[in-house]
Amino acid sequence: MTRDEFLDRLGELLACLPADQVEETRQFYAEAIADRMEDGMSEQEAVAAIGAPGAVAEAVLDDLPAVPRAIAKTRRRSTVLLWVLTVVGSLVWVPLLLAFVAVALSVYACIWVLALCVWIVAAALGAVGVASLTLTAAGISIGHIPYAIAMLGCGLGLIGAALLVGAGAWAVSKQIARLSALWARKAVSPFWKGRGEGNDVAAHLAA
Amino acid sequence: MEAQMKRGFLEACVLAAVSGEESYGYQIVKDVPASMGLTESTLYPLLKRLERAGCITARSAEHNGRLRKYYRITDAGRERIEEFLAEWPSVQEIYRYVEEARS
Repeated sequence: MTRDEFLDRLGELLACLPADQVEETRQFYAEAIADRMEDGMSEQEAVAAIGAPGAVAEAVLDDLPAVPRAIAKTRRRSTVLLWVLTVVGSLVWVPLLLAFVAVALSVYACIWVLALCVWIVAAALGAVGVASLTLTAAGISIGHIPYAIAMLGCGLGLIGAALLVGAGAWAVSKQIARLSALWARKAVSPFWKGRGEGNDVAAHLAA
Repeated sequence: MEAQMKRGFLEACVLAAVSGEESYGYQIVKDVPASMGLTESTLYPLLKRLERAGCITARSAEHNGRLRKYYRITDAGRERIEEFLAEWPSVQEIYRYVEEARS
């Protein structure tokens, strides 16, 4: 097999990928063959050393996330087969996809409801604290000093507790933001591969 | 060699191969220990993955009238190598355990 035959075959096998990725892959293997020939191999030997185009294409496609990989591999066999499977299989994959989205959303909602609960507790404590302070003013206006002092103590205590719980809620929210970023990445991983692992979590935390 | 383990070893080997001077595909294949059995079809996805993860950078430069892609390690890549090397004591511990269990 000559270099051009190899590269053309590889291009055909990878036709399911975007054009720039195909070109990049072709360039990588063209370079590998050229470097071997520079190293003293004949063109035939250099191409043989790289391996069969089928195996090379397989290795490229294996690096895709699960869902695009399955689509690409089916499309490689035949586009018609892909369409037939898509339509006939829609009985299976549409409910599965819906279930997947529903599970993903409910996990997301559950995570955030936790944070919301803590914020509500903090807000409730704060509201009661403010009410107590209002009652303090009422106590003063009717001249019932012990009552006013008791209410002032209650109010300050409750507002203190609200601030404490609020700080906790803030910390919990930050943790949950991290968790939900992780979860979102896990949920999309069968479909899409992000840039470096951990990058988005770091960005999320920094924000 | 177990697949997951080999993947980790290969990653570390490729990072090591580009950690000194920048290097290119065929040179990396030649540099990495033969026992790893590294070929271009394994190397290509691995380089893409490392580049995506920010562990290496790539640039094209002319060589003998054609373009060649050169790879170089980044700080994140060096960190990855350190993490790999830091696993050594626990690997040793496992080997010792297996060896002792045999006798």
